[in-house]
Amino acid sequence: MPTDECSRPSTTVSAPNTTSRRAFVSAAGAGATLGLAGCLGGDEDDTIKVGFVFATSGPYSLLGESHINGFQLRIDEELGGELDGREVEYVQRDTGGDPETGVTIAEEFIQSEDVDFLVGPVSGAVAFAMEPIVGQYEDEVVWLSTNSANNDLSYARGEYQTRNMFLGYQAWQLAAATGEWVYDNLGETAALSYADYAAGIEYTEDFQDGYEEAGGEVLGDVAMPLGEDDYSPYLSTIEDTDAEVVWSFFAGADAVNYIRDFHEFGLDEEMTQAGAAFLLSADTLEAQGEAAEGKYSSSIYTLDYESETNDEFKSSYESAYDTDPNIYAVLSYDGAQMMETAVEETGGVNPPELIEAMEGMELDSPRGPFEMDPDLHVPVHDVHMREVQMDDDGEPYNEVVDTIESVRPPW
Amino acid sequence: MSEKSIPTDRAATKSDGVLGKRGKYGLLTLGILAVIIGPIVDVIDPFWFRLLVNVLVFALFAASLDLVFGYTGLPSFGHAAMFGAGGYAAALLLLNGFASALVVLPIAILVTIFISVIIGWISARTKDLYFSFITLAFAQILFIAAFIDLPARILSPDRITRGDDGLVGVPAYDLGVTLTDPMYYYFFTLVVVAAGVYTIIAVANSPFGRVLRGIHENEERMRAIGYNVTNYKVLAFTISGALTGLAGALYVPHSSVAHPNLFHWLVSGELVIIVLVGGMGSIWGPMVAAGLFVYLEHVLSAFANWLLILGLIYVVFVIFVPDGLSELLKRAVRNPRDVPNNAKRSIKSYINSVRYR
Amino acid sequence: MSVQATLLGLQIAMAYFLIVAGLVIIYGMMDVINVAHGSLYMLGAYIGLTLYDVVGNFFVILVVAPLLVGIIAAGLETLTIRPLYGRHPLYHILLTLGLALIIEEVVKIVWGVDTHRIPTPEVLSGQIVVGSVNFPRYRLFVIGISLLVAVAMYLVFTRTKFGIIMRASSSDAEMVDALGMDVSKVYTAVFVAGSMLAAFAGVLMGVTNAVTPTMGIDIIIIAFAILVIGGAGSLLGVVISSLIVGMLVAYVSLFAPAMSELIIYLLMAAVLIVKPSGLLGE
Repeated sequence: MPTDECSRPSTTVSAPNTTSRRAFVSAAGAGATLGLAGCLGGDEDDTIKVGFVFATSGPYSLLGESHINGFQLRIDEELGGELDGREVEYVQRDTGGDPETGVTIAEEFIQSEDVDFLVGPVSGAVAFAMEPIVGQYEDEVVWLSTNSANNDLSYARGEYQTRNMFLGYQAWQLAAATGEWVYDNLGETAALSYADYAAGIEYTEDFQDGYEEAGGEVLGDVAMPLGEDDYSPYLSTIEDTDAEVVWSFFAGADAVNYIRDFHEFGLDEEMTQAGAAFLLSADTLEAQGEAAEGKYSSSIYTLDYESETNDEFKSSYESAYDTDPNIYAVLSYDGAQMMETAVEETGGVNPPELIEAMEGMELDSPRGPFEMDPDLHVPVHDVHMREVQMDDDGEPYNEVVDTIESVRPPW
Repeated sequence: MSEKSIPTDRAATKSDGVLGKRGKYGLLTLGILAVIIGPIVDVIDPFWFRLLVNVLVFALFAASLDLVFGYTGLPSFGHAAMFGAGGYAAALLLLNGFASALVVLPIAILVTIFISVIIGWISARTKDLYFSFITLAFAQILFIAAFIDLPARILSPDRITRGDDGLVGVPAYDLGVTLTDPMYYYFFTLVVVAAGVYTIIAVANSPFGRVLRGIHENEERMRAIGYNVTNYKVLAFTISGALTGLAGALYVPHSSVAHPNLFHWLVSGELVIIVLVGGMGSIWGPMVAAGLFVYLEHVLSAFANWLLILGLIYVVFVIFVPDGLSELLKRAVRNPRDVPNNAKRSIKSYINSVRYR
Repeated sequence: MSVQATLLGLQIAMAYFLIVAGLVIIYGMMDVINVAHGSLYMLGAYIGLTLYDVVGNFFVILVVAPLLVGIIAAGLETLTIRPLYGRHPLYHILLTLGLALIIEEVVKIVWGVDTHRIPTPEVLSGQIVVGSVNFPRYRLFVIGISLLVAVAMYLVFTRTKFGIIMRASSSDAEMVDALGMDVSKVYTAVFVAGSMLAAFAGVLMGVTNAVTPTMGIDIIIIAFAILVIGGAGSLLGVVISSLIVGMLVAYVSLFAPAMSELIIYLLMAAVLIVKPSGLLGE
């Protein structure tokens, strides 16, 4: 029944068929604003519609903006806003990082806007909340969850799974997979410090698993409230463990404050600081300044990673937005590349076909080449181990000191 | 709370309590309109139809808050506590095999009554700003408890509130038929919300409600006459809290998520704004404002920097529409021709007020 | 007792005090619940950041940024708060929440959403030995300068004509009138002074805390909690409650990190149960 194509999937309300619904609406002159245009013919559309479900206000706004920039850089700047001869259109709403809002927006984009692709969100909590809802529309939309890092969201794992969801990366890849490297290179005993929320807990547990498996010993851990301004009161607990390494999960302003406090209280001189990407990344380094020097992090993207693709990407991003790209921009840039390749390959926007095309897809990304795992719907990519060094102007940057190749979660 | 400047339609209050006969008919008309409009909106756009459920839920929330806030004069900044408690209670039951609305809703209400009595009983000793902040403190305590999954940390290593991931995939109620169909859920919500609003109006217009009004106008006098003011306040807070919990229990299965944000002070704050914009103490004004807010915020959120627009709306509104929507609409209905004059007058008085003498 | 935790508690307390000091004079004298206070704190940090790029001297911006925020505050007060005099204090919440949203969004448009930090001034970087522990020099500076501000505020209120008029306006606006003063000018002055304190705190804390568009909204509820615990309107009460909260946060962070945020709200509830108008409220 064609009705299902553009309204909710499984309702029993008898409704007039699609065309007459549309006729009614356009007669009322409301068609344009309500965005029902996509309903008419599925594959014969002459536009491809993308819905951005990102936070553009609140603490996640930098991430949301970067994602949207990265995506539009590929489609609008580099491809002239067209894919396979069709114009790409966007709709966008601010989730504010709130799961209920995220669900509402996802429903609107699918039901009313008839988007072909959902891109977002930033927050794992929002992705979790959207998952059962978007999961009901597997034949209508492809979901590029270009940021969310929760392990449980990968297809074929855990209780949440939607086949039409493709993820940017996994907590496991940045944490557990680096445990052995940290043990071999930085120290045999570690303390853990992290922001006390779902992502912080997951990353830290993953790291602990990987580190202990490699033979390392964890001597203590401190969970600190998310959004804390002042980390100094917690530092003595870390110091008292006498561990060689401190492994941490903080992001954004938290990462800036934590690293600066760590440095200010002289803990640098006693232990080596390491952590997941966000602790020391392009969006935090400027504010962290010299406090970041000599600290390690794992990431899938490094601004100074040397490759032709990355150089081109960087100059293209800079000329479009007048600023350096960050990991979030890359993730959605790659999401756009996946969409581009899949649309060209299948010659349409039929979600089951697109999903099939994306499974096992190989991409040349600014982060380095990677493959989309056909079972997990997660990229199998290299993890860079970086150390922060100071350039000639005294500005910190990440130097890739080692690469863990083709990291795939073990489930 | 000084009474000097609280806008009240005292003459009307004295004669027929909250909502005169006309107001009641007005509300009834709105209800009937909701019955007709729902299916029509659904045909036009199923998503905008789904938002109508949010409108109903927040209308009930706003009316409940207004009963204590505008009507009794207790400026609660912590009503999110009850909204979240009702929502979480419903989510936990629905996710654990209890599907019947006849079981889940009463339990959710009982849970919020329990919480409201505690918060109300402790908070009723304080006044004004202090009342606002002690209620806010309780809501923030619940927010943090849900956010770090304090119940699980205390009771067992398992997850209970699931921290900031929240409880997701909350199924709809069952009522003989399952209410997964948005049309069913809409009418179910409409009936429950109508019953809730009816309760609020009945309470406001009862002898008990007149005592609450008396407390608002002059607490000392009521005490002198011999009323146990504190008990009245606690009871009013509990009734309001229970209905707020009911709104939460309707909201969560609809959005399918129970997240700590339900408890957040920004939720309480937004509802306070809705009550102020709608017109304190009128009950219907805040309900209308709730509907406007649900749609306005959704429409605005498509724009970059949309909070700027929202902020401007707050500022302009509070300066130029001091008594809230309810008074504005009343005046406009009573004397439609005066509308341009009134507008001119308020602009003039604004200009006068910003000038130095 | 840990020397380090005690020093930290003191430093956290003094940082809170600087933020709340502005709130307390605005609420105490004008009866305005200023939700936008956190946003002026943030604005101070951002203006300081930009000035720093121009001037390059921390101590200059510590003085100039508050002055610029003071000018903005004068405009806000005149155009938006003044028309609301005599209205119920609840309406100020609606108004100032609107102002807070506007300021935050304007900051995002002007400065973007990146995270920044004001560099630690050279003379105040590094650590010095205090008793048995090393303590960052800059944080000792924060303690010192905040104490100075507290003393200065006390002197202004009790010893100067300006302070006397300000206090008179809170207890009896008519008396100010009788003195031949324009109450609305006094109110503007109070609001400007409070906002300058917020901006001063913003610059000072922009060195130890990340400067982001959300730093204002993040701090405002805790600031109000401290105000209420101390007894709104009481300067001494706020000093005491800042100290209690600062110490509590420092020690709880050490022994039960998960509780360090919760403890502030528990304390507020506990204080209001025992003393419904705050520690030194009337």
